[in-house]
Amino acid sequence: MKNTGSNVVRVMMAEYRIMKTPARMMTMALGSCLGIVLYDGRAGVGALAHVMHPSWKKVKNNSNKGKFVDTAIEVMISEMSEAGGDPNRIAAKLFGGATMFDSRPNCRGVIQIGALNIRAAREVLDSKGIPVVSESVGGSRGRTILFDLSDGSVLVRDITGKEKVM
Amino acid sequence: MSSIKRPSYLRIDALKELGNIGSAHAVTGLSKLLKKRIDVSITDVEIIPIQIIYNLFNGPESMVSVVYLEGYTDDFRSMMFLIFPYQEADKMVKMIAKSSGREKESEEYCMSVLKEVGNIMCGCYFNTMSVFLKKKIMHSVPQISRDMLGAVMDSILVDLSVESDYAIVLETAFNLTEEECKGFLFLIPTTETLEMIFSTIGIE
Repeated sequence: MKNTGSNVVRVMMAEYRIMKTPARMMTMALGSCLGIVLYDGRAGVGALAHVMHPSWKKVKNNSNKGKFVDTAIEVMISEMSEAGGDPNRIAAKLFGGATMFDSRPNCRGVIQIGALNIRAAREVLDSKGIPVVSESVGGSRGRTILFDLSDGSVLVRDITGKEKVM
Repeated sequence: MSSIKRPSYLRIDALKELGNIGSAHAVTGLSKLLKKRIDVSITDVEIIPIQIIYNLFNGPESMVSVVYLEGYTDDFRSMMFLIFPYQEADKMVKMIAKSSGREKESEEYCMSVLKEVGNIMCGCYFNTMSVFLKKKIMHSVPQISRDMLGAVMDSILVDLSVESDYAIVLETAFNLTEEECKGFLFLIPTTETLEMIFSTIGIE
């Protein structure tokens, strides 16, 4: 990625981070996982999560808040408020949720996990009154994203090297 | 984080042996198809946090072709992947295409050939396990995805992460020395399957 510098913080799968400007965060290779970006431009506070499942309720192994759409959004909003953000000003961007294989025979219940993640994120954000201002979701391609807190922009790149600022 | 108990050395050795026998047959299948000599590594048994599977290659963004299958019976369920770095998958397709007299390959043809390679290799692997465990193990049709390693794997790992953040992985590398083409076979059995394997072969 062009803009990769030493000051970019990497968010791994099932993790979330809250940061203040100036900072940049990236998460690599989102497949069916979802990258959730929350941003309060005036306070200069942003958050990025790389979640795997739509909800903690259906999963036994559920202590990690960064793994689920619902818990990650919840915890990010509260930590952003502590860091000076205002929940009423927060806007969201969504990335990922692709379908990497056509079909998954014999796997009970998690066949279209990407689509479920997208739906869950929209629902949870909607219930909190947070608008989704842009998104690049679905499809069948992996995505890497770079979130720049200085202006709230997100650079999306796929395997073909195509880049897009959202 | 929930964890998987580390198996005893005896159990790990048993899994290694199972992996060696299975992968040897899988690679023999490929070798017959290509009519070429293939070297196989000894199977490694590792307990790894599932995110770390990416680190086996050049990070989550490395371009790969992954063929994915599942083996199953009543009490057996394992995931199996055949992973080739992107260029080497193309090399493999060329080798096979040349031997069947084709010149130019479409993306669809590549996918189909790689699926068949996965079908043959994983079929041989599961057949060997069927004999070893005295169970008829079936397997699903192969699925293929060619993209960033992390993106391909996460949709599979989601399944695993429901139970645990760690997985026991049987990993075998193979190498066509003359063609500089290598690939990897991964078998990830579920916890119940592991218990069944140990009790079938009499290790408590």
